[in-house]
Amino acid sequence: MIALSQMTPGNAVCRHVDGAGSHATRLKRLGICVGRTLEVVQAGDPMILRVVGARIGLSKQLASLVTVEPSANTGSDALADGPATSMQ
Amino acid sequence: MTASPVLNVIDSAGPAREAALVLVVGNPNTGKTSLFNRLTGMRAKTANYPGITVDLRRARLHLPGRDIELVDLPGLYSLDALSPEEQVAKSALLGELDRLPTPAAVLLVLDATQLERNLFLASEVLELQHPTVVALNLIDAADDVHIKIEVDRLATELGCAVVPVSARTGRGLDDLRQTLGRTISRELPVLQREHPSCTVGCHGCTYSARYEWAERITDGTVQKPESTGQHSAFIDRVLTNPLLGVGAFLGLMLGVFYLIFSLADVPMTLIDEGFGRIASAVDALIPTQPVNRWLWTPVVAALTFAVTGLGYRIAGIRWTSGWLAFAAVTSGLVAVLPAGDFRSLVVNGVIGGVGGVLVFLPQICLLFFFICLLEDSGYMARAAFVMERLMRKVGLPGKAFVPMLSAHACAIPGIMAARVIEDWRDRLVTILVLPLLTCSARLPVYAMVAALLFSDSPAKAALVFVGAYLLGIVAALLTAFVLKKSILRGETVPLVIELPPYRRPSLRNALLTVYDRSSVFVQNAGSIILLISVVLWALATYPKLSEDHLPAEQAAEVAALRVTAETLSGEEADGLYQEADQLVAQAVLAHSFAGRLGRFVEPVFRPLGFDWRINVGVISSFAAREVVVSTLAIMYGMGEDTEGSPLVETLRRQQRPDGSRVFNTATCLSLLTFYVLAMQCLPTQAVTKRETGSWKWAFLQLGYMTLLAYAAALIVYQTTTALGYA
Repeated sequence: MIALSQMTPGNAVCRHVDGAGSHATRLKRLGICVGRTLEVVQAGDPMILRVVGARIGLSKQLASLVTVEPSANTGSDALADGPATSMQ
Repeated sequence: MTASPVLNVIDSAGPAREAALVLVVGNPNTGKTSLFNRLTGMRAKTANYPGITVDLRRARLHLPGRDIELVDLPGLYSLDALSPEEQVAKSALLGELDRLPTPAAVLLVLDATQLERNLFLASEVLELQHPTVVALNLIDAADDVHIKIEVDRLATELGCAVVPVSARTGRGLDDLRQTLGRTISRELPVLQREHPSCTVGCHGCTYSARYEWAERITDGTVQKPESTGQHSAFIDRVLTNPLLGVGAFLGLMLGVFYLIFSLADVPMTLIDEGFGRIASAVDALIPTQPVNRWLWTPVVAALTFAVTGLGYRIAGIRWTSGWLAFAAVTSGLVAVLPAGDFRSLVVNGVIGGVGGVLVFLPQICLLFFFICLLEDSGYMARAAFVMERLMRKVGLPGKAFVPMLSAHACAIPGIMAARVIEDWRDRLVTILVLPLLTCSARLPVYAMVAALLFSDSPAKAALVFVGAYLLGIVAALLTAFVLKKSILRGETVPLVIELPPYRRPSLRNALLTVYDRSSVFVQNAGSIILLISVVLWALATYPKLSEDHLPAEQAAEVAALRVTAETLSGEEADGLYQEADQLVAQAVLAHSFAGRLGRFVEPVFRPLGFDWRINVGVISSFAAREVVVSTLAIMYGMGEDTEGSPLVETLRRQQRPDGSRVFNTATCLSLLTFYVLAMQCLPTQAVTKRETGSWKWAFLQLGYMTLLAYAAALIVYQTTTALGYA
């Protein structure tokens, strides 16, 4: 389990979103909430994620609120700006 | 569409004559506004609700069975209402907005290419139990990427009618109208729906539950190929690159600005000439011979009343007794003016004043147009993304960058574009500092000062411009920083932004937006401009000085000029007559309230190196800064229409009583600094008031900018004088 802000490109499952205020709400309503698969498309500050079919730009400050569990296949094909994570 | 089970029938015998309210709801970037525009076209109006700074566009539609009032709510991601726009959308949906009745139905716009994501908001909206019709928009875009949606099954799952539509091509719109009409005029079925927040496996997180619900429904109704969005991903690799992205952004903006300035040139000239022609036509129309008082007075009174009424209508002012009295008193006053004064009021005050502001309308419209195209194309989100890190350093979000850039053409579109900033404090700070950035109305002043300082060296003159632009930018960023640390203290909301797929923007949308926003501008600023133009005209005209009462020195000079002119003929004589007239105009302005005010405030502005004539320029440019150039021309006896260099030559010759030059280096720099930083634009103030909902912020803007301009000009003048550049 690592913070989303430390992720390199690849997939991860969101396990926890810290905090209760409007920051957390902003994240959760865009799909960065427990149980969703997050694909880091481009690391950095801000980073680009792919969540529930959409690309989301996210500042590091907010990304550090999110705890994720990287998927097993993350790493090698990380740089491939890959296909949509199919939910089917 | 399916025949969904009707479980609850509500009697629709409400206020039948009133059009039923239908709210258009949807995520941002779903083509919601395009769909609204398609359905309503030019019938849509921006509703002006007192106390609400959010634009709601509304239009009345004839549907089979019943008329409806369609209201386009701001796009929102959820009912959490984190921005003023979302708050209004939420209140409208809950029927809590004072000005709107409870909605009779909701038109929920979902993006067919992003159904799963859009279903999150859908789950919240459907829970409100309003009769709902889902418009599955962008269905053609979904077809293009081979996304297949089982519409009937989706309708069953959602428990409401689902109509696939394409706002771009118009596909499905008839069906949508029919379905809306039936939903409203018939028995208004309210259907039993599941409540995902409670029924689907809760981890104590309603967001997750809703997304799980959305995923379940999408799994059952949508088939899509493994990969979509490659095309956007590819472009984004360039446009969101920390280096290339910033470069691309600046390049694009440079191009947009080039287009704005070159395209605006022709209509601006046309407007300028048009107003000139109107002025001379009106001038010719007003009789020069004395007219029967009994005929003149009522006609002028009626005309003035009509113009005032038009002003009220444009500004949306109701005819209360107070406003009626104001119109009546104004009409009476104007009617008793001597014919010569009336002519001057109409030609110089009204037509000149209004024309002077409207001349910027082409630039404003073009800016709205390009901002809308960039927003629709999906690029704006990338611009905010790449500018985020830079802007955060001064405490502003990345989204503030585009408004700040727009303000370099005109602050007004910039202030309106600040609506994209969700956080109210961040938005307010951005609005407050925008007028510090160099707009095109300042350019005539910069040009004058540059010519005064370095008419021999274009390179040095260019430096004046660069310096002025930089001063504006630095002042705006520093002020933003200070405001964020003081009265608008608060953390800048960190970036989380959807990067929507790139789409071809709709020209129709852009044109409607331009029409809409420029009418908002004219409505809000138009009547104030008219009023202030008249007030400034009166200040510069009264008390009157007839030619017989010129101060002895000027009277002698004028007389001498005319005597000489009589002995000459042709152009030489005309030149002398003109010179005499200019002397008279100069004396008249000096005698007026404006002239006296200029002398009165002399002690205040003396430390800045301004003499009383410059003060008159500063006063007269209170409403529109570029006016200072023509006022200075009159004050220094040049007549109004003098172009560039003769004015500069004349100004350069001016001497103070002690024999030193008025426009020395120190005074020029101080004047430049003052005009970079001072507010001096009433239309901007009117728009600030509108966007922030209160005059308080407009006055704060005026106050801090005036103080800043004064202090900075003072420092510049005193320092340069001390360094020996006087």
